[in-house]
Amino acid sequence: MRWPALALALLLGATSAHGQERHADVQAAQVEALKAEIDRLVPLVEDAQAEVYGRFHREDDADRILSAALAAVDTFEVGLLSVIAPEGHSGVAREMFEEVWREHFTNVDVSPALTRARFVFQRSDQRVPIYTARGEPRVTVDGLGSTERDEFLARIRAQIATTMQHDLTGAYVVDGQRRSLAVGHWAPHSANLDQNWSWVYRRIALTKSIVSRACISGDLAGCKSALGLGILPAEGRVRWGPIVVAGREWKQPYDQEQFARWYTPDERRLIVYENTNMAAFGREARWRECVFEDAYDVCDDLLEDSYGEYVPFDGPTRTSLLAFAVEQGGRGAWARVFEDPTWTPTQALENASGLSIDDLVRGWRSRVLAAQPPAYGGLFSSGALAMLWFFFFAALAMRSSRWRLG
Amino acid sequence: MYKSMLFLHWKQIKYALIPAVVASFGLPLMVVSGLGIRAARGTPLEAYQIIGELNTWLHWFPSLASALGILIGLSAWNWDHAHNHVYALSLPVSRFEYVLNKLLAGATLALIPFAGMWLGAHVASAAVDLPVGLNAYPNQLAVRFLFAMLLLYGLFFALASGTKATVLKLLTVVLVFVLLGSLGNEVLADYYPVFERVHMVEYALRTLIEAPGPFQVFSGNWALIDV
Repeated sequence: MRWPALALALLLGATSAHGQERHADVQAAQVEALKAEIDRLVPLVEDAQAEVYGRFHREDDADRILSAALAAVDTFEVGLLSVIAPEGHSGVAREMFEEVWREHFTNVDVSPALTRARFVFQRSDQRVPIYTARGEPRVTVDGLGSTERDEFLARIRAQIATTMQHDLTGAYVVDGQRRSLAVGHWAPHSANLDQNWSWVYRRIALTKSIVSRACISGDLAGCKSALGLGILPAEGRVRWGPIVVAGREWKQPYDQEQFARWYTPDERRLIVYENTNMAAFGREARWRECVFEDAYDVCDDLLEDSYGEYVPFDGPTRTSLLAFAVEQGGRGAWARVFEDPTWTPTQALENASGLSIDDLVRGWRSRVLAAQPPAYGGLFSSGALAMLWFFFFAALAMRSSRWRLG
Repeated sequence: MYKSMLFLHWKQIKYALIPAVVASFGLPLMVVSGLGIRAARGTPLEAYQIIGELNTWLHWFPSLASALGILIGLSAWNWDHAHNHVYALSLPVSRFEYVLNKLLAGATLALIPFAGMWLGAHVASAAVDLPVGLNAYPNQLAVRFLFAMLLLYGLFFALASGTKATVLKLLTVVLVFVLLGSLGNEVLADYYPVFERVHMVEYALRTLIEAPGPFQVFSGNWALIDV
């Protein structure tokens, strides 16, 4: 009885091992097939994007003419902006745009992206929407009551900042050509030139990195490293982030030494832990080894081969340095940021501010540290208010019908 | 008279106050306990994680302050209600003087959990090795805890000074407003468009927790460790 059972167990074991091997082979083949498919599709997508982009550009003028013919709108200029608003609301729109421009963008005297854009202002309940070319910045408001005014002003400001960013990232066509600058990838999202410095302080204080802590402690080199400045060749690339190697593999432009300069081994392990994408494409075993078995060398390998952006200070924090550079440079500084498309972020920042990168980063650091938010700001005023209410409640207790009856 | 009031109130709540004091002392320690273990393993503390982990604990501080304020406030008048206010009425003092002494006695008792919180926050702060950029705020946390506790104490002291029926009526009105406020808002919005944008319950809550509302002290920062 024992021998048949043993034979059966052996047979099952062999079948299972063979099955696993075959499964791994199939998975590897699928990965290769997918990679080949990606290689084939990427150029097609890029061509299609270019075609669409060119078409948008050609259609712009036609759309605008059609829009003017169909809608009862007013067009007016505020600074570099052209705003289109319904006839009945153009007064309010002009007032709000003027306020935003006056308070946040007066230093911007050259911006092809802003000059080219037509800002549409309309109410959400407007029956006939204002028809403009695709991609035009649009500010929709839900009503024109005074209570929402601040919110609408913030929307207008955000829309202008986002549009201005196109000067750097090239999402906008300028003279029929697409612009793309390294500084635009280095400081992405929005050209917010009017920073909330307390918020920036909070971000740098909460950044998990050796160099960010060194920066707070006063180490200028730490600040530059945390900002990703002076790290060549990565800084010189137009594309800020992982690069494609051999047409298919993502590869970080930073080597393991750079990661070690930025992060402690535990911090690197934490990055891997938080990035579950690193467990994809059959790398789960290595990911688990790094995260749960403290295999730091595996963590470093995974980091190097991953898709992600690991400069310690994130995009919004880096944008604050750009804003500081523009502020230091005064009038015309914004245009000097994108004067030469071949510049690295360091060169663009120096050119905009008129300062050396060391002086600029030093000044930025001082500005950020000076804005340390009071963690318990307003404690004593709110405490005093609480005590006022305390005595008010106590005064209520002084009155009692029972007592008076007695 | 103050001493008598203090003694009476202490007798009323000593068995509830002792665990409350332990909780006040222990809560800051609980907040940093995981961090202490990690530090002991030799893993450096990491700022983002510290803030993240603390956040899950933050609501316990105002909750504990509220619970203690309510406890002290409601218990302040137990003796009077139980003996039908005979003791108070037999004293040769004005109502004002009697209530003031009672109020101060309760406020004095509130200092005990405050001391526990202050001590616990200091011990907890000393137990962790904070990275550059983060600071511990044990004094501020304890002071906010005291203000919040006294506020709730004052409110429930006033409520408890009345009859049970009054308290029940008041609480019922508040509950009905919170529960049915949203429904009422929708009905009103059909007739008055302004209610489409103004939500009554939200508006009331915002009024209460924003200055000059009474509960503003609860809406501030309660972090032991912050930037």
